Amino acid sequence: MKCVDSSEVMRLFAGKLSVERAELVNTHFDHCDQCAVLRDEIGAMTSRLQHDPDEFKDEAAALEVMTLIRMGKAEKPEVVPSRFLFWKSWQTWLLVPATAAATAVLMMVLWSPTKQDATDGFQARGAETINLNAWVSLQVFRAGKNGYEPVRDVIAADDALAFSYLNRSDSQLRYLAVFAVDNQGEVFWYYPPNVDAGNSPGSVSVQSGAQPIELPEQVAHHLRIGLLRIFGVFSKDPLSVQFIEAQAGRDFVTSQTVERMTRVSLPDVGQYSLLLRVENEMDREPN
Amino acid sequence: MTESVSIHLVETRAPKTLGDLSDDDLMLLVKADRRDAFEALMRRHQPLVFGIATRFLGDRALGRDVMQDVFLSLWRERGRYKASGRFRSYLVSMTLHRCHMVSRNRKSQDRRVSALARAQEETPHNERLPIDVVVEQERSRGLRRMLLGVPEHHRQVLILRFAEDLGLEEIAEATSLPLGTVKSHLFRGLKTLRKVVQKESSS
Repeated sequence: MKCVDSSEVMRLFAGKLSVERAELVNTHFDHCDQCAVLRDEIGAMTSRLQHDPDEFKDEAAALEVMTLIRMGKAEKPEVVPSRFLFWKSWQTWLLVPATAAATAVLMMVLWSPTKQDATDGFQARGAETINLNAWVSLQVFRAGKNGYEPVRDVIAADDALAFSYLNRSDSQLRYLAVFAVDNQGEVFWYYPPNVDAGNSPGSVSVQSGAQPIELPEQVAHHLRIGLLRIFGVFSKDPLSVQFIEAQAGRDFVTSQTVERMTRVSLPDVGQYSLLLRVENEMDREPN
Repeated sequence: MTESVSIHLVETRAPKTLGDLSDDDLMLLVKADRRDAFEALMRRHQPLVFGIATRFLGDRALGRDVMQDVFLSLWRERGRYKASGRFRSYLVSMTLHRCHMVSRNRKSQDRRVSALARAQEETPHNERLPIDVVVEQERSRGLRRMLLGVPEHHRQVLILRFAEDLGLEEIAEATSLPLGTVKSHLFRGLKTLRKVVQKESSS
């Protein structure tokens, strides 16, 4: 047998060689000092990764965790009740006469002959409801071998995603939260980063303009295989991660699937959402 | 409920200590809010989580934070765990997930200072330790610095295989990667690490 090269020794260490080939290579080591040295060199390198069993024992850190748990600091934060639930609970009856009165007034205004005459050739300005969603959009990219590629409908579970947003020039929306919800209702945060369990960071500040603006970091989560919906929520004021998560959780329970959950029920926001399929097959690393 | 039945079975066996129970049995007790079971579980796996996080991030203090965060999340989300004999993979997966998040966050906070420079400037963890421990820490720091030269997705596989001695199938499960991809990452990670080691040696 010919001498092996370092690549083959590393394939051996990585378990990539067939059983027959691994046996051949191992037998070769017994007879070839040069190749055995190569094996020992790579073996020594990997053995340096091993550690003293006590190196990462940390009783103090474990004690701190237990103290937080005993103090009740590690429990799930209470869900922030929606302001609409407040109305629903004990003031719904107030809405009934108010709605009826408003409808009556509206009907009188719309059907009054004098009003019809007065509006000839007149077009109201500023009274229409502004669709905030029309002011914003979000573009999703995945980090590929040749740079960033726009995501259309499929990503891999370990893909790093990057984002650019468009917040049109006259928009009054100044904050953005980007997150994803999978088909088990789990929320994955991209912006703001939600790393510390004890904090609830607010949405990040964004600019407005005619051109898309890139967000600076690419983010990878270990996503579940299946459907995933990415949301970009633009708001006038910063919204906290916990507040958005609580509402998204309620919407997911109502929708039962992210296919139907096209938006999160948040007031005064512009939203963009994109339904994706998460697959493993996109990982095209050679085996 | 299934969980309460299983808990009953565990308790009627009357093990000597909680430490004798399997991970899944402990988690069933944890789901019933048993803090002592959680403490036993944490003592068993704390070095694993701390080791993975420290090696991945190249920073012992960050690794410690991640370790604490992982266990606090585990307690908080205890109701979601489904006993299937794969607790270690579940824990490793949580750890890697946190590591990726912290890594990303750290990059955004400190983009100007490279990770290599940070590792070089890292101060000794505890100067009062005996000299052999200090030497060991220096050696580990050097290795952590070199590991930072390996891309994250290759690095995590290297750490799990060679530092924590996980099997290839277990790594595939913990990282949600196909087995063939794990092997590829391992191969490429080794190649990169060797280049980094050779570069360090020559300089």
